[in-house]
Amino acid sequence: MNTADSAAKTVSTEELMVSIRQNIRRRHLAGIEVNPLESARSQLEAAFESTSGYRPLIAELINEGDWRIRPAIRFRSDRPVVGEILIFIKRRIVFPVVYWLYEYCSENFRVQRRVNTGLMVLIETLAQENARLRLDMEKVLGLLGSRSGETNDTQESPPQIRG
Amino acid sequence: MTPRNRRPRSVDKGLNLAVVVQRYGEGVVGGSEEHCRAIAERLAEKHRVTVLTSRARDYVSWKPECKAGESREGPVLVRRFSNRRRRRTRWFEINEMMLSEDILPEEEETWFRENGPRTPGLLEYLETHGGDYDAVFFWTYRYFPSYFGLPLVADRAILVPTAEDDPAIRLSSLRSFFALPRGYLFLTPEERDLVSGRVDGALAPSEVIGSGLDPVSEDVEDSAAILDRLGIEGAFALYIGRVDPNKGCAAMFWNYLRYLSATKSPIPLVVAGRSVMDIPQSSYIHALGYVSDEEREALLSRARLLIMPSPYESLSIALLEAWNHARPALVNGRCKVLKGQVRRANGGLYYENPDEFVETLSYLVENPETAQALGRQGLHYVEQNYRWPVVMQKVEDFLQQTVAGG
Repeated sequence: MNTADSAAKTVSTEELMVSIRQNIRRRHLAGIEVNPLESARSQLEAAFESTSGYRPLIAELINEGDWRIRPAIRFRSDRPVVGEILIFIKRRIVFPVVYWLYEYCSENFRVQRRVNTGLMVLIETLAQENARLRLDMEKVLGLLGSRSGETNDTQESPPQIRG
Repeated sequence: MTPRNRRPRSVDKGLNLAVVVQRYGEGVVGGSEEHCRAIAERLAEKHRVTVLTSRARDYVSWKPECKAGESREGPVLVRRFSNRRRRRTRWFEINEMMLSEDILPEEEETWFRENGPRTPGLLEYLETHGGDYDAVFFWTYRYFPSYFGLPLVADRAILVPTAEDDPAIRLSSLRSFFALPRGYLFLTPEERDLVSGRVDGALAPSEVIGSGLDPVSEDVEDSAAILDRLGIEGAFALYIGRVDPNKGCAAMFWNYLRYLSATKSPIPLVVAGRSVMDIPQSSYIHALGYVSDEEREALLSRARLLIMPSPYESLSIALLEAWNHARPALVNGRCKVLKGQVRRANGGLYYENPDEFVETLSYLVENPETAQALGRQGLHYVEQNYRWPVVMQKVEDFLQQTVAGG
């Protein structure tokens, strides 16, 4: 088989994907099998996949820098001399004793953090959608207003009399 | 370029090579460790290879199970160094910070130390004898031996990072660490892009080598008998691997249940692997639990297609194995590595949302000829890129270029 033959017979993943995605879009446009939760789901997945860069707009608005739940524990002390001893006691004695409780709590905190991220994304999605719809409405109302204005102008203009 | 104080050497005459890895030996399960062993044994056909590793076999506890000291294992010399067991509370404490991306730069070194296996003897050996080797390979960046050992022999270090797009890769200290090695061997172009984006300055010379597979020797009667024994009849889609939400299985089941509700004559899903999650009850889902290598081969040889839902992969061996059997794959398109592999091979389809999962799975089931063609293209891709002679030639060429100064 020469190269031209084998090239001609290649089934392209990308071409198949384009055609499959067109089918999905066509069905959505026709109003079949539209699931309104899907776009929210995609956004949630994307947010969970890159939680590092995700900083919700809401956190900016409430000016809360430290908005995330932090399940990790960090031992610190401001005392210059006794501090090291206190950290040692906390880390080597207190922490192992309450370790089971910490492990239990941190797992719950981890779940809570994911729930929070999810809720933030959904609220932001709703806010964006609401803002977009408001703009659309304003445009439509503006358009209707100008059209009704045009109609009124026509009505108010004096009738032409042909003599 | 050649290592400091060394004349260029001929690769053909055989080099003195060291391989540093966290665990080593027959029966040690782990993608990186198995990849390392396969390459080390093949390198030993031409070169003198010494493996430097810990005594541990278990990557969770790092319990020292093997004897310390030298032993010959197959064609390679293995030198095991004593290591401490992991102190779980301290590890948990610092790993939590890393996972929640709440770790301070000064704490990152502690993370690498606690990640273990702590082998101070290995570091001392590298410091005193590292210069005796023409090149020192390091497998995976995230463990103690590589993170602390590589800077000691940076001028002759070749890093095989096996990096995934997870929180560990975003540790800030890696920016300077990734600038140290003399060269890199990557599993996929996507992995190279990931590491390139995390390094200060330009990345050292690199090669994408992937991993090797041997051609399958199919015994049709045997595989039929095995599937009979497993209670599997007719066509089926296959998931193979640990059944774990972190591997994308929760989303896969969610998507598959949607597919069931949207399709009149659906294809059953066979799930092969140990499970750490609840599997939905459905007459169309057959969960087999752990399967032997023989059963795994039989399943791959008879599956209509493989589903690979993982969001994180540095190289999917299961995907390559499916193509080795000329089976098409349906992969999670949100994983750059999987999507890249499928697109390069033209070996299947990918999905990025549940609608696409349903549509692509239906397409592959309802168009068997196209599906088979995709599977054959996958096999062709494996033959071109993932046969051991091809992989090892890339490694040898890279050694010639970077170490022997050819």
